[in-house]
Amino acid sequence: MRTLIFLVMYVTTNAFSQNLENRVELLEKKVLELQGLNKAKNGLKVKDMGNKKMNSNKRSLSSYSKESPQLSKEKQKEIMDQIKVFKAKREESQKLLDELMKDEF
Amino acid sequence: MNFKFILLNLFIFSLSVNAFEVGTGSQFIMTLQNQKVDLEIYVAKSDVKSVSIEMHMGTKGIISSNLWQQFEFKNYGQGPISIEAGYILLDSTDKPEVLSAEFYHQNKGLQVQDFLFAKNSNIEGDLIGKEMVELTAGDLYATHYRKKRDGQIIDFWISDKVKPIGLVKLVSQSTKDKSNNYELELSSLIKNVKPSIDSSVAIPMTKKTKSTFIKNFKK
Repeated sequence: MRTLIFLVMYVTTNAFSQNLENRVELLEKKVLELQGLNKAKNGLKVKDMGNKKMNSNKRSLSSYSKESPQLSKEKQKEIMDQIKVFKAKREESQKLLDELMKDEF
Repeated sequence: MNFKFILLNLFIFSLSVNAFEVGTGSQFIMTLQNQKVDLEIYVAKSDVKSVSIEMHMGTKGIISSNLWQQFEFKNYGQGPISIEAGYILLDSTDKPEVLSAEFYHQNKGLQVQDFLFAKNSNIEGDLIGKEMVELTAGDLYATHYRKKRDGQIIDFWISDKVKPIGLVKLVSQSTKDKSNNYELELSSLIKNVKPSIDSSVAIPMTKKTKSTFIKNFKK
């Protein structure tokens, strides 16, 4: 009889403990979720794009007002060509320097 | 800027949860090889049986570049989701181009199809757990999933609080392909975005575009 009472008590206590653990776990999750929501509400904004197309070249919204001025396609190509010429010249100079260094030592 | 690395493995959609309001979406900061790229994903069109999602990627600065893609999905919320059509538009082209079939079947890690799911039960096997994700814009409680294929591992966090796109963060790592090493972080939600791609004027994919975006394309 004592064994039976013990078993019943054990099972009841164990079930109660399990139930409590589950509830604590749920509450922990809820707290985390609420914390996350509050932080996100403070930080995550909804930007109104004003019915405009997305384009990194033409953004006019206040959040992008500090970005560099944009160049036309032609100007971009011109600059890229100049960079290529500059790179080629630099490589030539480097080769020349390398040769000179070889000669010296 | 070479964008082809993310064209096949970016989309995370839970298509059944809410109606898709045209013009709404998310803005992300993408980091790859120490470079920052703007990325926006938003709803371009929506009706009872289909939804079109457009994606814009761009770099700012004196020499900037842009790329837009649009995908039309069918039967969302009523069973398997399929990609009905895809389009691409570049700075250098006047008209959008229809993505050809080989675009979707490049053996380069995880594919668009891997991220199409209509119900949460479709990705339960990839579940890692619920986590607090620390974002520059604010921390967010989100569900963490992990997908692996062909040397690429993608960890992603999604939340119903940032619908319609739902993506909070994504980290892709690959031992095989360096271009598959990148991160996305949600920076804000967006609304009232006008789509850049008008699918009604799209032309077939040109050889030039194919050679840029399709791996092993033979001219």
